[in-house]
Amino acid sequence: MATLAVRNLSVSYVTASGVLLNAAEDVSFQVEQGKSLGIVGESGCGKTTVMMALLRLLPEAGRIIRGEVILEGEELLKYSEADMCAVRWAQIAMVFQGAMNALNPVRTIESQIAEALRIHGVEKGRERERAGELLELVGISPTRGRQYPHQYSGGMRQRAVIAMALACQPRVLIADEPTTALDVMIQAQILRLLVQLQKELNLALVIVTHDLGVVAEICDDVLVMYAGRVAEIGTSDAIYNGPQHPYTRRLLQAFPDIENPHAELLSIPGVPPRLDDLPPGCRFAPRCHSCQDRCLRETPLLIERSPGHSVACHLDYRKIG
Amino acid sequence: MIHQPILQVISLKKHFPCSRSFSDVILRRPRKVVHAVDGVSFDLRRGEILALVGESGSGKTTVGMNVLGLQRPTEGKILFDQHDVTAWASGKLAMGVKEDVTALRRRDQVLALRRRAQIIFQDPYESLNPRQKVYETVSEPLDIHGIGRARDERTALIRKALEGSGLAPADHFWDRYPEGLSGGQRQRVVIASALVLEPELLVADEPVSMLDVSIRAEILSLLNELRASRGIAILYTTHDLATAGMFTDRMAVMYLGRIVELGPTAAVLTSPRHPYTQALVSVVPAPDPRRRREQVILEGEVPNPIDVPTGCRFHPRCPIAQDVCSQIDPEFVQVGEGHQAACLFA
Amino acid sequence: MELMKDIWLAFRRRPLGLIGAFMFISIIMVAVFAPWLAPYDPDANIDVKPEELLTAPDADHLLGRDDAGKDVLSQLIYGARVSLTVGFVASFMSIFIGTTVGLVAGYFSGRIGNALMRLVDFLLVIPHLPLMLVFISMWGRGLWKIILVIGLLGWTPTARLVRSQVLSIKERQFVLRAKAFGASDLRTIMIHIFPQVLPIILAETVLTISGSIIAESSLSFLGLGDPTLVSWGMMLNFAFERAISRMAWWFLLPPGFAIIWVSLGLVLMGSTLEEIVNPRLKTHHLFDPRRMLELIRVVPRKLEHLEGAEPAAWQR
Repeated sequence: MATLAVRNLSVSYVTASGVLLNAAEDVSFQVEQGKSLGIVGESGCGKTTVMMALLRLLPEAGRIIRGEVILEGEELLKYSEADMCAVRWAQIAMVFQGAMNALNPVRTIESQIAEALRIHGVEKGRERERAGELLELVGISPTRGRQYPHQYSGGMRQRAVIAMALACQPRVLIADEPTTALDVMIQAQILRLLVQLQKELNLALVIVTHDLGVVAEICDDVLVMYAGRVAEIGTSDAIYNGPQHPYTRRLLQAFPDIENPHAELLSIPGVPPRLDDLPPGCRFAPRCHSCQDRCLRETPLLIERSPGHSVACHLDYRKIG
Repeated sequence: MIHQPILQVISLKKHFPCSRSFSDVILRRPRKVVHAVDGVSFDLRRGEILALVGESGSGKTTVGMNVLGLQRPTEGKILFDQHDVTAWASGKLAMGVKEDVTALRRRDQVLALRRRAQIIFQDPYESLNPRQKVYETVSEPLDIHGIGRARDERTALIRKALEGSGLAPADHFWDRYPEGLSGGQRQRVVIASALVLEPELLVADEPVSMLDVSIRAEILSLLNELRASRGIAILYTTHDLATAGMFTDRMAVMYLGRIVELGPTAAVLTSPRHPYTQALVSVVPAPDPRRRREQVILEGEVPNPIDVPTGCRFHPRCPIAQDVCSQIDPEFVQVGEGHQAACLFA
Repeated sequence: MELMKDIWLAFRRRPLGLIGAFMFISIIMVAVFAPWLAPYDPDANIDVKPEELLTAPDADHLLGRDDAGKDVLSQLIYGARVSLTVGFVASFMSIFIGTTVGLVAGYFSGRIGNALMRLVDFLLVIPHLPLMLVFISMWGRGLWKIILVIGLLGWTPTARLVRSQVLSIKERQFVLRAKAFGASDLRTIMIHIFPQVLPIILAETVLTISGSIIAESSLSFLGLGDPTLVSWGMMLNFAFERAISRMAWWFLLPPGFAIIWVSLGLVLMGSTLEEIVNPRLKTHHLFDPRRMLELIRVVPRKLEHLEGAEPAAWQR
């Protein structure tokens, strides 16, 4: 059984004038213990919104319009805020985007981890010890727990934030852009760490990023989002070696491959649509070079083309090739 | 006839002094410096694109700033078309350079350099004055250099620059403010303003790292096309080896203020000889989960440029380091056609 | 200008600021339309009988009469002119000097900058009111002298503010780019740096006007104002000297109230402006909630009835 399953989740934002803007529509996916899912999409595609909705951390203007979030059989959207507090961190933990820069500069790393532990009921006195264990888990020497964030390098801060997220031994770990601001070598270290942690702690890992390379490195399954909707979802292998959705295909073609230098890089003309100006049919249609009449009128639904591989497109590339 | 390179960087060093605490001053401790760039040499030929690759702290941005005369080298020389950039940038051209540049007044000397070499920065959201419309931004270099005083001429030049950067039709962007433009469009405006003076050298400091992946290719092919059509030499600094592989002719890999490997891009990427380059190449994410290659993940981080390791600066993290590496600072060794690496075991 | 439009839009949504603006503008209107609003001409010579001195408010004189028999209301109305004139002119002078010093000190942050800031520190340390007293006593009284004294001493906070802004603005990439083009210092300051500082100067100006009005009132109250002009401070001065023993509250309270009214209005406006123009922290663009939220003016409202609603249908 899937640890975390999201079905037809739709999230909107309310504008000052009362209009609803669809930030994410009809998003479905699932993650199992010990497996990882990568959610890929450009900035503004709604991937962070979906994660925040899962944890019910949307801003004031956010509204969950419909859908289900099922954690090990429990329907989370029916939970009260008090119940959600117990779920957050203890069952589902998240490493937020830019969290490494949001550490409290006037408190030691150890005390910040200890705080998370205290809130979730670890006995007094054991916090320090447990914080030390967590730091060691992420590859930081426990004695460095007494240092302050500014004494840590970027990579170390990211590790510290991951340690904080793991404080309560969650089942699901969501990492939002875990490597974006980091150098490539540190990125490799952090990715290796995530894989290691996933195995050791049997986590269900969700990586949200715009970087296709990161997802190819460590994710078993991939979900591609565009303008708030799911474009394609499948195993990593299927997505990278047999992409079906035109957006996915173009995205892969825009990705430089170090083993094929001087291969032609193509980019996708145009920009993603604004939330208040969404096209009526397929949202990618205005930029799609295979666009047809039907695409402009009808929103394509997510259809399973082969086992485990679903695509939201009217065209069937298996026929076109 | 020997075709001289347009840019020659010779043993460039740039050190930034560290601030000292009170006790440091009292106890007369020697002042520490950040060795941002610590002995870098390379040439750039006309119409060539050289990639300067390195992680943060490697000094690549500092090199770019010095090449343009925006910072003054601590040691070493930078020659742009045989002229000493430092002297040129400050309007004090060295005596003995036989060129009519010396006859120019100080300000004109500075302008003469600034016209021929331009820079593009990393952050398209910070590179444009939010209160200037697009045409004003592109017009500014012309104003400063007194080019195109006649309105028609000026409009034509701006239009040409905008369209040359892919912002067509130019009228559509003319009166817009930066806040209405996407990252990619802003970067194009930046490129247009650099192009309008028809420079011979362009320093592109991580021009696409803050743009979405789907836009990067466009901007990079624009740079490539500018080289092809206008013969502009480009110094492209980046931490992303993969994009550097896409359109550059030669690649220089920097570590802690030095170049550790230099050679034709394809050679450096497919057969890297320096252990650092080898590690970097091995960890660059590949868009194919089937491709499982041997990754050399270095432990730790790039050390502080204040306290540079003795001997080979890479030896503390080097997977093949030997005792001798902590004692000897390796010189460049030729490892292929135009390909050198600074390692005893290259 | 785009800037003004943006500021106005943000201003409109802040009730306190609007209240302040109303308060301030009402005083300006009073000052402008003084000849039509004031029932009597305060400069006119009148014959008064002793029992008409310091009379309490009645139908003819809504705020009573002062110790010379003149109508207090008219004086109050005309007093607005003096206070506002001093307020505006002196503060513009302060702002101009402060901005210039701030720009220069911030941009040329080496020796010149340091020297200027030491001057600023020096002036800040000296208490202003006593210094103004000294100047006026030496120089003599008069409207322009007051304006000069207030203007020449009030520029230091602006200078500090502008300088600190300039220090951070000049590191921004578009300024560096301008230098890479070969922009001269003057061009860099006027075209790139100054427009970024302008919004803050705007907010500061409003607050400075308030300070100048109070400074003028204080000087006049202490008896150093221009004797030929009746300002609110002067009215307070007269009231204290001559009317307080007789409990003539109608002479004492109105000018005080007027000063409070205009200062409060200015402060409300000024703090609202400050809040609006406060440079926001920059976030990495890939996580730019502004991208989503720039379409959304977040207003905390309860909209529970929208839960479970179908998303809006888009007509094309």
